[in-house]
Amino acid sequence: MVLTMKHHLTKGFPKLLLSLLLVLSSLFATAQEISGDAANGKKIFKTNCAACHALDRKLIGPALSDVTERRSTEWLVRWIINNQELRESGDADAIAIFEEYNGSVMTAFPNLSESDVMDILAYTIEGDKKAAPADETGGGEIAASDEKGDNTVLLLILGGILLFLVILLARVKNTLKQVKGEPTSTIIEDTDRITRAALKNSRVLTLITIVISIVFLQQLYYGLMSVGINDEYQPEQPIKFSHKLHAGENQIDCNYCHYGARKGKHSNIPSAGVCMNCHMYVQEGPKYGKEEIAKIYAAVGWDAENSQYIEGYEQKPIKWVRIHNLPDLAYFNHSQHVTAGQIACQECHGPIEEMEEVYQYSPLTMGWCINCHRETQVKVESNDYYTEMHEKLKEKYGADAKITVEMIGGLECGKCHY
Amino acid sequence: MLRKNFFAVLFSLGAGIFFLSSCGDERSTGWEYMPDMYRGPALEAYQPYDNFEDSLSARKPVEGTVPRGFMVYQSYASDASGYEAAKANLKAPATIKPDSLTLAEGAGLYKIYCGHCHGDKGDGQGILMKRDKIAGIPSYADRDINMGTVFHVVTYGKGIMGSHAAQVTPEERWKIAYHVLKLKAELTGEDIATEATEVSDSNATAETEGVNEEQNQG
Repeated sequence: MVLTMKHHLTKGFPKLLLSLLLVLSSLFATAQEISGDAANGKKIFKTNCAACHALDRKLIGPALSDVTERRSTEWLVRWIINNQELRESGDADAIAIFEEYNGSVMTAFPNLSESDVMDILAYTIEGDKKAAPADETGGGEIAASDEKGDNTVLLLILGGILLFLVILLARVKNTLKQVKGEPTSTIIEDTDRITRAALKNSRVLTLITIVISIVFLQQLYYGLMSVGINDEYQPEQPIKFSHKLHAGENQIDCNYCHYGARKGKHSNIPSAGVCMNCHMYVQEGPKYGKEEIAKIYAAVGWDAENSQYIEGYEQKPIKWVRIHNLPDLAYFNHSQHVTAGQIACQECHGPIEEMEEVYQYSPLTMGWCINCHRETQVKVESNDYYTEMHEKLKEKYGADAKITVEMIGGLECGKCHY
Repeated sequence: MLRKNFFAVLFSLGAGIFFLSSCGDERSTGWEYMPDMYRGPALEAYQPYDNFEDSLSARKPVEGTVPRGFMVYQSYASDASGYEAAKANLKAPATIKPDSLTLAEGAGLYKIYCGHCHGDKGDGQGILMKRDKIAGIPSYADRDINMGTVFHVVTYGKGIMGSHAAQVTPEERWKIAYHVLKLKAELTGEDIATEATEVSDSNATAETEGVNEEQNQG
């Protein structure tokens, strides 16, 4: 009896001790002596864990802000460093979580030391303290972009000052007249008198007629010339997408979203799936918060709470409003300009990376096309495919002449109209 | 009388256009001369079309359609098992060789489609990571990757990375994969020659070594 007990004890002692430790540590879960360096933990977390975990919400894996309350430190260390080994050792919790997440495997991190893991855990407790100031800088950027409003205010103030001066001068005039004993008159009476005199004077009348005619003729000319030309057209889009934020501040390449521009006639409007490449993770924007990004989720059927697509969801198209429109009679091919011509998007579309809301920058008239074809130089260097043709062009126009799009047939009618 | 009327007409036209065009708002396209020319009956790309139930004029190709130049990639599942299988078995086709042209194209494509997260050096320090927009981008040096896994991940995504299959064609994915492994080799300081073993075709291997020699000299 004693023997067997002893045997049992020796065999089971490490296990017993372990479970005792586990019980103890889970008892004092919140007060666990996690004395890691949270700042270092944040760094490790950002590079290794954040691809699948967030503190406050479920991503690919569970939210981690209260993980130290849910699990014991020792279990966490073993799980983080090599979860597969832990599962194979028959740990019930480890197998349960593995099955809860449909058998998706968490990467093992054998390169992390125990103190690294402690740092991470310290970070999960402490959380992000820098979140608030980051938001403030976001707000500052928005305020800086609203400069249009300031100008109108300035003009109104200037106008007010001028009006005040007119009234002041009229008062001064009336006071002077009162002193001299002459009859006074109000501003309205003065204006009326001057207008009557001017209308009776044939010279003034002729001058006024000429000025008005010139202004009207000029307006008529520009008005008629602008018919059918839509530059500065800036329609309201269904989602307040900011090119300034995405292409400007975040420096995402135009081709990342408009991937069709390299290959085809159209520069495609990115599908919502492309938005989701980033917005699966980024659920909140700096300006409109969750509201605008939620519109993408509504279109594709993404459940942001649980980070997964809703099954059987009827997806809806996002109805973007087209800005640039060439009539059917003109042919334009994006890839020809972007890939072959190596023209930067901004040459036609303007400073897109500064536009909060996109407007049409170029007039897209034939004159505008032709002008660019006359001026733009063809890049003949390191384009071996056309060496023979480039040699011929050099013979024809002289070795030093700059070869423009015009010289390679860029002005021929049939290039664009057929 | 006629002369007087002529000017009156001109004035009213001028005044009308003045008020309509110059005070018009940017939310409208303004006046169009012969709108038929601008908005023809033929469907433009992305134009809504109510004759279809979902109002999309852009239709999907018939099920089972195979585009020209398509490379089959069906035998690898999108989940973890497919990843492991791709890691063990998937090799770049012999037609795409890691020569200098492929690597240059791969580098260009990488800059467009990967750089803002993974960083131009592949160290996981892209602009989005630096600006705290996206977190958790690992350095290639810390990950056990090969041609197969890079292709699999670009095709299906992994973790918070989404699928980029719509943006880059299979051929372009292989070019990117070559560049990614080149970056990994640069980060870890390994000899780039290890890359050559990824290629199944013997000709391609020979050529890779040629490229490596050039690079080592350079």
